[in-house]
Amino acid sequence: MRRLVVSMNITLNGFMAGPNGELDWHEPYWDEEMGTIITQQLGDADTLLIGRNTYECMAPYWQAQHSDISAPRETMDFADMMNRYEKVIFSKTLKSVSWHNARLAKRPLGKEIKALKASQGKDMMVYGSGELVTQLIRLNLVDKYLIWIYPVAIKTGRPLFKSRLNIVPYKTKAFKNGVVLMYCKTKMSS
Amino acid sequence: MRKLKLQMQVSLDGFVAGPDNEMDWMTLDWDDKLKEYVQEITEPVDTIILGRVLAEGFIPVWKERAADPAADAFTHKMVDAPKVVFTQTLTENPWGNTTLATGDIVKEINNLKSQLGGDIMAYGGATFASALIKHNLIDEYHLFVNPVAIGKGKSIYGSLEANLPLKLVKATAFECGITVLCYHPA
Repeated sequence: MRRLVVSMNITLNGFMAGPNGELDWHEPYWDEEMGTIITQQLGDADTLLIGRNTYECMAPYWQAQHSDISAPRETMDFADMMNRYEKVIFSKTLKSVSWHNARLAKRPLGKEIKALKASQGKDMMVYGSGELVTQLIRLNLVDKYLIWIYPVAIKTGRPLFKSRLNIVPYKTKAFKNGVVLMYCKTKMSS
Repeated sequence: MRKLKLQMQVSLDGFVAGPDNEMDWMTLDWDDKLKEYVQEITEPVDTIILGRVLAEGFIPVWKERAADPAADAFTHKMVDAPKVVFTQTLTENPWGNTTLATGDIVKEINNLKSQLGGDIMAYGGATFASALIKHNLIDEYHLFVNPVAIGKGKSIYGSLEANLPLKLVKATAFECGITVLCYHPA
C-alpha cells in the first residue's frame, strides 16, 4: 500500500509558520546538504497532495524554476519532479487548476486518500499545506512524518499539531546547519 | 565562569506541560543509554536552581525518594546538592539546603555563575525557564523531546521578544522514544 508522507518544517516550539504565515525563521538554513536529502525523499514519491494556499504559492514558483536553465542540477531534479509528478489539489473554492499533471480532488478527503492509497504507485508527499495536514491527521491518514526541527524558537505562530498525537521516531539525522530531521511513523502503521 | 544547563522534558511540539500542568504525555520508561546521558550531564553539576512552583514539588519528592535505602546516587544528589529557589512571593524559606533568590533574575544568575564551583542545573518549571530563556542566561540546553505532540500547553518560549536562534551541539535518539536535542546559544 502506498504511504502518505507529511514533510514539515517546524520551530523548536512546534510552529510551521509565524502568526501571519512568516517563514523568515527558516530561510537562513536552506543548504545543499538538506537539498540532497529532500530530493532523495521526493524521489521515493510520485504524487504530491497539496492544499489550496500552498498550491497558489507552489504552482507559479516551480513552473518558473522549470524554465530556468541556469538553475543548479539539484534544484533542477527537484523542480522536474515537482512539475512532472501527479498533483492532487484539495480546495473547496478553486474551480480549476493549471499546473502540469495537477487535478482538483473531487471526492471528500477521506475517500480521495483511500482511493489513492489503494491505487498503484510510490509514496504520496505533502509539503506545507497546514490546513490539509490538520485534516489528514484528524482522519488518521498519515503514515509517516518527516519532521524538520529548526534550531530556532519563535514567540508565536501556526502550530503543526492541534491535538494530541503519539508518534514513533525511528531515525534521526542532524544537519551541519543545526536542523534535526526526525523520521517518524504513526502508531497505527508501526 | 560556571555553566548554566537547562534539562527539560518537552513534547514534540515544544510544550513542557499540558494547559493544566498535565505531565501524562511523558515517557517515563527510560532506557539505559538515556540514563547514562543524564548521569553524564549531571555529574559536573553542584548546584540546582528551581522556580518556586517546581521547587514545591521537586524538593519534598526527592527527599522522600532519598529516604528509600535503595535510592541511587542520582537521587541523593538531587537532595544533597545545594539549591537556589527563585521566588517573588516567598519570604520565609521552608526548605533545608536551599537559599531563596528574590532579586533580579539576571543579577542573581550572573552572581551564581561568577562564583567558584561546578555546573548549575535548571529543571524548570515553565515560568522560571521562560525567564531564563528570555534573558538568554542558559549556556547549554538539553531538551528531552518526547514522542508525542500535545497540541496545547505551557511553553518556555512565550516570553521571547524576538526569534531565538540556537546552535545545535548534538541530537541523540534513544530507544525509549525520547530524542535529546542539545543546543548552545547561537
